[in-house]
Amino acid sequence: MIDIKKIRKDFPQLDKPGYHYLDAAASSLTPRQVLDAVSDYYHNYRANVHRALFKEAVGATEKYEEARKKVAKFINANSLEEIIFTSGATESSNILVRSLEESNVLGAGNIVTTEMEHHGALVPLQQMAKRAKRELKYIPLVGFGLDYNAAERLVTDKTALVSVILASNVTGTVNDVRRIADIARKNGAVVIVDATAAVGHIPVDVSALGADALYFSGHKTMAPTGVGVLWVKHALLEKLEPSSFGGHMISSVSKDSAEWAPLPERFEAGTKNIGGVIGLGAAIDYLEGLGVANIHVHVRALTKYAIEKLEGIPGVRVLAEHDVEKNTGVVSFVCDFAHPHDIAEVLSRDNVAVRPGHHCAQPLHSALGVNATTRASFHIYNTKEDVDALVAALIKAKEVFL
Amino acid sequence: MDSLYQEHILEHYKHPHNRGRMEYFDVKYKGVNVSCGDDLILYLKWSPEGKLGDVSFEGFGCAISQSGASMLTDKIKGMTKEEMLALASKDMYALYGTTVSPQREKCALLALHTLHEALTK
Repeated sequence: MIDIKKIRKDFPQLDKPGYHYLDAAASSLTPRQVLDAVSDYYHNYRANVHRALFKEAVGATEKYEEARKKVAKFINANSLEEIIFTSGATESSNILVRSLEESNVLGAGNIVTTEMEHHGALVPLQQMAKRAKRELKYIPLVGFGLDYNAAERLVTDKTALVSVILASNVTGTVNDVRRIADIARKNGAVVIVDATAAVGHIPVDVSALGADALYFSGHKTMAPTGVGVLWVKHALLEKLEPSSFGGHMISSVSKDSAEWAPLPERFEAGTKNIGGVIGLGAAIDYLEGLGVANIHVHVRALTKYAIEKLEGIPGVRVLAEHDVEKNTGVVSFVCDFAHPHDIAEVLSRDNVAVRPGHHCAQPLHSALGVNATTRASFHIYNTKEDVDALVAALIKAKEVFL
Repeated sequence: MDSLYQEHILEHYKHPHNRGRMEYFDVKYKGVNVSCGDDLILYLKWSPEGKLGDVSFEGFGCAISQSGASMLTDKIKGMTKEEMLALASKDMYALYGTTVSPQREKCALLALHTLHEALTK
């Protein structure tokens, strides 16, 4: 049994009395263990990684590569060469899509994605579709999930690439990515998975998902901002041309040309966010110490409680996956008495931190028939008291606007 | 509640003035709040003297942007184009009776920006 009271002490931002942080889906709080690991790097062995021979540089390199091992194990990658450090999910997505496009590994044909995608996944695909004159098709929603029958129809032997979000950052829905990956594989398409909203909330296993590439951000998994991961299956990665060039990613450079470094350095141009990577390693230790499956048990109880409580307020409509087994702890809602920006502003006066807007998922909001939502999202450090504070503040807000 | 959601602002939000589409107008312009995707459509009609004879607005948005549109459309009736172009952020904040946080600036100034774009584009 996890002692939440004890866990909350790990998060300095929760020291403020009466403070309710319900914005994990935008960025999770960072525990002291991660802050300490980052601080230790900056205080004691601040150096660039690889090549240099002094003690601190060796120490930094060890920690950096140790983090790669932790990530590989955490998502069940087959080799360390498959793990590329980036600045976050968006850079991962951009690098991946560019490299796929420029490496001639995709067959002719269309791209299939979903209406549920985050802009970080979607916009690079849109740009690629425009440049390469490929049709971009969307698997629609059914309720708060994906229409798998439509996926069967949309993904055909004319499909080169399928990109699907593992869990929605708006509705919390965990998609059956394996099912879509199987359809894609049958048709010879490459499968990309955006796992940003899922990692740290549900166990993520790249081979069980049947993915060819998967990415996520550190800052939503209790690591610092500015670090992320791109995983690409070795058989595909070795065929990809890098799309970002410079130092670190080369083995030799002449006036006329350059040769690339081995994997994974080939895809890590320039000095990466070393402190961030070390922090990510510490964050994975922290998450694994608690057990991701245990985190979900706690979060889904809160999700269930929040959905029930919010639906008990007349005028509030919850737009979230109601089967909490398949929800990563995200509850978005609209109120017929006020706009999400007003709700969030009034709630912030009661120290309830939620997020209004389209959450970088405008096509999803269009599919749900709304411009914007207010989103409450949970992690291991949240409690029923947080939900109660949300509900109380919302009832107060209703009195202001009605 | 704090100064942002004071009575006159909420009153304009709940019972907006000059709200609705205009049948016969001289200018129709749609402004967008890029921070949230909300929009505001302004309709302007000139009087024979070349002043603003009538104005109305449509759109979906938060209490700040909607009350701002209500208060601004009241204020500009009868103004010349030059007078309207001379209006600045501080005039909007004077209508609200308060300033707003940086996150809500685009909401508070949506009506004014839309008006200026409507007059110059």
